[in-house]
Amino acid sequence: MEKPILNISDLKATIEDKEILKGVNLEIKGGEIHAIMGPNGTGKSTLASTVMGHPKYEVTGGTVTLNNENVLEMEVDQRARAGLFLAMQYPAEVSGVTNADFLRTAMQTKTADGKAMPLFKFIRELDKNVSKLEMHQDLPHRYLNEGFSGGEKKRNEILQMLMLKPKIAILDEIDSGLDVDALRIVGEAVNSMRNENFGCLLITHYQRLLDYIEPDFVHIMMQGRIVKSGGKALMERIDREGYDWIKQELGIEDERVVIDEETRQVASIGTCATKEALNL
Amino acid sequence: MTKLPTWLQPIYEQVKTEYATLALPKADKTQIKDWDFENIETTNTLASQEQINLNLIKENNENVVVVCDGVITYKKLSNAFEGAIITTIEEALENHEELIKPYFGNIIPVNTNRLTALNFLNLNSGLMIYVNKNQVIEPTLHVIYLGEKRALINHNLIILSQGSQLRYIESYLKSSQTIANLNTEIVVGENAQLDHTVMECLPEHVLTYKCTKAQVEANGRLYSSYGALNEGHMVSENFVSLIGSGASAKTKTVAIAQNKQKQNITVEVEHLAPHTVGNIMNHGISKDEAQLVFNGIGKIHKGMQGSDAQQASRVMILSETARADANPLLLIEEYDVTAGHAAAVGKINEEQLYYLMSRGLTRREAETLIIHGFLMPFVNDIQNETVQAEFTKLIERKIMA
Repeated sequence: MEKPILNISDLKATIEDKEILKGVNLEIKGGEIHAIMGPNGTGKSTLASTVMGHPKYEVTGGTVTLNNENVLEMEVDQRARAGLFLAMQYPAEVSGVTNADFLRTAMQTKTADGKAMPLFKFIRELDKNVSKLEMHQDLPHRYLNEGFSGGEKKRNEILQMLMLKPKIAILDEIDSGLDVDALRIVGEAVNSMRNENFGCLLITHYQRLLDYIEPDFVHIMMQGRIVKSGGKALMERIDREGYDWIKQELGIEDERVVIDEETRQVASIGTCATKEALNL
Repeated sequence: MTKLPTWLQPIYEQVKTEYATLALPKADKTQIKDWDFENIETTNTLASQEQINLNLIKENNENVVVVCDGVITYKKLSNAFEGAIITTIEEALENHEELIKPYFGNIIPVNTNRLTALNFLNLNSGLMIYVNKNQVIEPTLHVIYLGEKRALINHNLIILSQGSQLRYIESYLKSSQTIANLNTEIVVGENAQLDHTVMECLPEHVLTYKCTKAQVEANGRLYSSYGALNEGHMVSENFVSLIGSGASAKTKTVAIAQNKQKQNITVEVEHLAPHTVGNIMNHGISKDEAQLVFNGIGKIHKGMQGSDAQQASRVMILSETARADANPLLLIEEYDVTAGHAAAVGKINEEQLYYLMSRGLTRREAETLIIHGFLMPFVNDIQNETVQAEFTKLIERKIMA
């Protein structure tokens, strides 16, 4: 198997005509774990969503390739089938679709001939990973993310990663909403995937997660760019001193590019209690 | 109907004179005045493509009754049904006057509108199902209604006596003429429970009017699941009256409107006694150039304290040209009650699509999965595996078409 290489070069992206990513350069190879750190609103999650192909973000420059294939030309599902995975910060809830059905459909699309994995093997694999993540055994039968606690949603993202075995995984703030035990469990799960054919990008603004998953490279993001890269020493200094020294060093005053990343859902509401309708 | 019992003769004569002056049903937000509901007999029998595999009924299934052109052509019931009366409405009018008289044409008054009158005047099919006091029937009864040589002008009367229980699936699969007119009157007695599933799968050439009304007495429970999967135009009215204290009703409706179809569906729960609970849930899909209207009505009368009226209507629109309306109405004349409503009409949620696609599902696969999930609450309610499987297949075909 070819060792995966995700290359992000001078990537620029906008949301509603506002430029968020202003030229990001990053290369992740199989066997490596990278961490992107940085204060809130500096474009970290935008980078993750842009690479995965969220329809809200528009790429205005640069390239993203996975083993020399142009990722930006692919649809979201093609990116996934090429081996990209994004553990989302706010995964959607889908009522009526059970976790197990969803996972099985997703895994089926991964096989070249479109044949389903034998049911027995699927269940065994699912059970194994559900136990590994110390999730409730009824989870496969529950509707996808519906009524899940914040922590359960995050574990469910990791479960999908374990099942789908991507080449490159991006974990977007997987540590938010997790207690210490859950953090350890998720950390162990990610570590269990470490090998030459798996590369990983962790996005976080706490150092906590990095106690469990030791990254090979640490990058600091500000103003929509990676402004500093380094190793363990950089991470430890941030843990001690915060980000201010970097801002001073680089002459940055306001590190943010995004003010509010919350998404809104739109629904139209019908007429209400119109008595006229019944001639009352 | 060839012969009517003497007690119905005067009513028949009266309705016959009155009929032309009666109004059409209201069908809020759908223009129906040009729909030809009265074209009962055409000369040719129309070839119909059955949507549902009719093999379903040829199997040697137990607890299945087939009513074809008003005649029971198949009936195989287990011992659990012993004592209950399951017979054609024609036979019931003749032999069970004392059971039928208080309800027939009273729960839905025959002169409610022109179409209920039309149903009464041209009645040619239907069943009476009567369950005795405290009789609990475990197995699910499945009745299939067909109009093989005639239009389906069907009238059912379902009576559950005090403390009895029944699970009943009602399927309308064929009407060889251009119309179908389906009335069902239901009595859920004191402390009785009815699980009622209705599947309408009539072909495109059939214009359907459906009127169902259930009367639920004290502490009675009605669980109703309704699949409106006809391919032709339709006006469907579904009423529940909670007339005894502690009565409750839970109704779930799913509808799929496709091609140039217009569907107008009303679900109303009326609280006529204190401490009654009504819950309405409507889920619909509107695609191609179809128009789908849901009218949900929860009505609590004065003095009916401690009652609860809830409803939620949701419609997914799958094309630029499809239309949908969801009108939630709460009409409340009492202070000491709880009530809630929700209505949403919109496209498939983009965030859900993105999420599923980010795991490798194609757009098509993701859409299908989301729609399935959306219709699931109804499908899960069907308490018969064969029917459930057939139904799932039908939904799949309609979505993919």
